[in-house]
Amino acid sequence: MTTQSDPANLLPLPPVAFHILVSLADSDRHGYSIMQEVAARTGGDVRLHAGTLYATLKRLLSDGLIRELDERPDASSDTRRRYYGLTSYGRDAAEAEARRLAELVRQARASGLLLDPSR
Amino acid sequence: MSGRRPQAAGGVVFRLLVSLYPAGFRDEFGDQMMLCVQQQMNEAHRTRGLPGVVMFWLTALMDVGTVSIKERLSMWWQDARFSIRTLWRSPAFTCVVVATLALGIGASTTIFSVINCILLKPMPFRDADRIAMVYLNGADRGFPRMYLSLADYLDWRTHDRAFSDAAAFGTFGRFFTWSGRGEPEQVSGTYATAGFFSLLGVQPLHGRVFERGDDQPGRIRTAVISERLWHRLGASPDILGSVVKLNGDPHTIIGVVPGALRFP
Repeated sequence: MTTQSDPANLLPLPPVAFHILVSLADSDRHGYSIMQEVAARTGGDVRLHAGTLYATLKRLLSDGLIRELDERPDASSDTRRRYYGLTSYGRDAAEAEARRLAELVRQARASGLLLDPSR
Repeated sequence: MSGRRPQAAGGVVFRLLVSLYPAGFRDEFGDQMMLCVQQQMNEAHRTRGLPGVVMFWLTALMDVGTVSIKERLSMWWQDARFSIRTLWRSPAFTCVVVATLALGIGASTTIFSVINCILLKPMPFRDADRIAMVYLNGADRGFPRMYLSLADYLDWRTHDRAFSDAAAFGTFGRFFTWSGRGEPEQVSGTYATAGFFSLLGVQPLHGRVFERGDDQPGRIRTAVISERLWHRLGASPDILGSVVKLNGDPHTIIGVVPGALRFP
């Protein structure tokens, strides 16, 4: 695991990594649940496959942004399932990325590229 | 149940692709990946039927295939960085390793060069292993190998008892201005004594090569051209006997030798 530095040093987060962190922000999940949540949240625009998902999970684990849970929230589920949760460092990194993206959207609106939906 | 065969076949292929991942990755995530794929496949079959299953497998297999290659490359890069750091921290060990590799590579290269010259690509001359190049030893003047002058060659030829035959030729890399047949151009070549071709055992394709007496004073200047040049001049048989100028001096072409001839 790498030494945890300022989360801002991790920006910009790869899109897949950000989607996974957002998915874990409100609940601990296993891999397939993350896939389902991301697909549902994006209306099917982002569909994660197993290769990409687990390669990204490996990096997030290595960077300390997520952790594997020792206890299974659902003891009756398939034993092959492993659950992941967001670390505080991962939450900070996700928040930093969200603020970065929000700033980009604000700039796009300010330049007239994006119409302000409130107007 | 429709779609079972594509599912089964896809499952087998998916397992094979997962085996492409590094062992550590497989051990940690392999089971989870198979479980996810199984659930996604069931979902695809439930919502979109057989076409959905087929489409799912195509995209899933492509995803796993490309990511597995990236993981392999990433692992190799990490291993390379670790190796370099380890070598950097142990300079003495690194020097021994590098020296050993250098000796081994040097010895292998030397041995192969000898084998290549003697066995694999020997010189295309008769009794090539009995041909020797003779130089003057000028080591005391800083020139371990010095070319003989023509006078030295003639003197040495008169008194030599060690060799059965001898011939001399000028240093290669010389260029002559060719004119009188075809377009004027620069051609590469050299001067040689009369016994040059017979010593090497080179047989002409057309005409003849130099013979004893051709290099005596008063004889007409003769030239033997390569097959490659002969083709450039139109490959005409009447080339023999024609007179061309080399650096302004008339020479009679008496023969054509094989185009692939490599001089010693």
